[in-house]
Amino acid sequence: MRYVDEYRDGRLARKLAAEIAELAAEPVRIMEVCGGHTHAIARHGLEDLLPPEVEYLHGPGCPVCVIPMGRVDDAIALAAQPGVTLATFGDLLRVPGRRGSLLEAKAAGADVRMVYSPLDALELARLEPAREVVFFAIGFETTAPATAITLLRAREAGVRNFSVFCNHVTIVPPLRAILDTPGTRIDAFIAPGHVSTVIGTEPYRFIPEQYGKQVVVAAFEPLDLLASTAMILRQRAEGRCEVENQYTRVVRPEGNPRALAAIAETMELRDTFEWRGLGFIRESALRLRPELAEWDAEERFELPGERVPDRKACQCGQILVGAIKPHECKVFGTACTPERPLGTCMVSSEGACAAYYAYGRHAA
Amino acid sequence: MCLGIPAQIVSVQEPGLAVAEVSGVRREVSTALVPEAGVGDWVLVHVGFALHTIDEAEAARTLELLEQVDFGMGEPMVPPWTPSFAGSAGEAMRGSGESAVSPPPTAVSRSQNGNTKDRP
Repeated sequence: MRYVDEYRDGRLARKLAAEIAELAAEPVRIMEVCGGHTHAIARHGLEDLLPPEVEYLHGPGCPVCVIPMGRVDDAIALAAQPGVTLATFGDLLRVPGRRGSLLEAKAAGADVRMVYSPLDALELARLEPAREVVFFAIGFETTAPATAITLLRAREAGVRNFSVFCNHVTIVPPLRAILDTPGTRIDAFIAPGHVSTVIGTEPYRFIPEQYGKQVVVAAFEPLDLLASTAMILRQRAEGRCEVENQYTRVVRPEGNPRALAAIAETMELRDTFEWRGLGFIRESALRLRPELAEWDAEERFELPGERVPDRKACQCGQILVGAIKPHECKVFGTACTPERPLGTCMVSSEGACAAYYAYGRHAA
Repeated sequence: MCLGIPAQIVSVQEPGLAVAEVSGVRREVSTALVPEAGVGDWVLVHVGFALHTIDEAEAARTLELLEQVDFGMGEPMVPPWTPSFAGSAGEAMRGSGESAVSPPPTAVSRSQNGNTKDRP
């Protein structure tokens, strides 16, 4: 596959690993923020190529992993209302709420459908005008523009049996929250490539400037991640601390202004939002603008809106801030498996626990 | 979730809507966010939306940079040490442009792969 295979060349990977080994003069802990990166690191066994001095910490950039249980319960309550069809991404169906997942709600008779795109959910509403189709929207700035354009389409076409349960989040506030956590173990960041196609590279500048940690925006293939790791180490060796872009084939410094405009036209910041593992973070999530109240599921339906604490045994919170590794969790692979996840990090393929479990990275 | 897939646009249905192909699989994608994308262009597709065009020249340049990493596996070992790398872990196997000892002709100097200041 073009733009994929050429970045998986084993010979070049070994060369890069050798360069990294030479550059790694001292221990360095690099947080890869995005779940897509976590998945690629586990899948391609990159940690085995690296010297012991270089450690990846897996960050909070997996939208499925950070959604609090209360919001999942809200979605399940929505799906249980008569006449409602709840449409969402496949990853979300298995996320445990307090009393089961959306998949279990579906098994019990709720009309829950899996879609690939929010546009597919809008199409469902068009095809089934007697149903109230609610799209359970999650994701960072990568996915928010898709929801935004879909909302604009719905308004333009006057589709009134469609609404969005908006759970979109933004990437910078949790990074700041992690950096402000006392005893943080992070030396540098591999920043999320696809979020950056939308927001650009400027929003990360505060990390080197205020916190003195290197940032490299990276693509998702193994060579990209190794090259980004080498770029971080070179910055450190040369005494530099800045935001660099490894994903130049897609990411521009200014991002995609059209996508940012679509988000701004349809959504606004919430005062605060709960993140699994990180707690409430100010101005870290988006809701629909009042002008779009007609398409806002939170305005149109009664929701429980309860805050539900995570299960005691689950250590997703510590994993999401890089405090522990997945296999160090008490229930990893025993009470918590991809088939029956206790915590969100075991659900999505981009969750650190699911990646470790799938690719056998828990032996170490 | 944030999975993005490189796909090539094979036809444009109407403004803002195109058909893109990934490994032989075709699907409608919205090009509302990249209206400049036309037939033959490669785009990064995420949840049914083209998020950005893929810059072919930049893609080639990234690969070139990777090729230039001056670390021939199995190439002769050269004295690599410069003050900034003193004490570096791992086997030092290559020459450095900053080194007082000039690298042998087979080794590419560091300056050629140090050009990673892409676009901060």
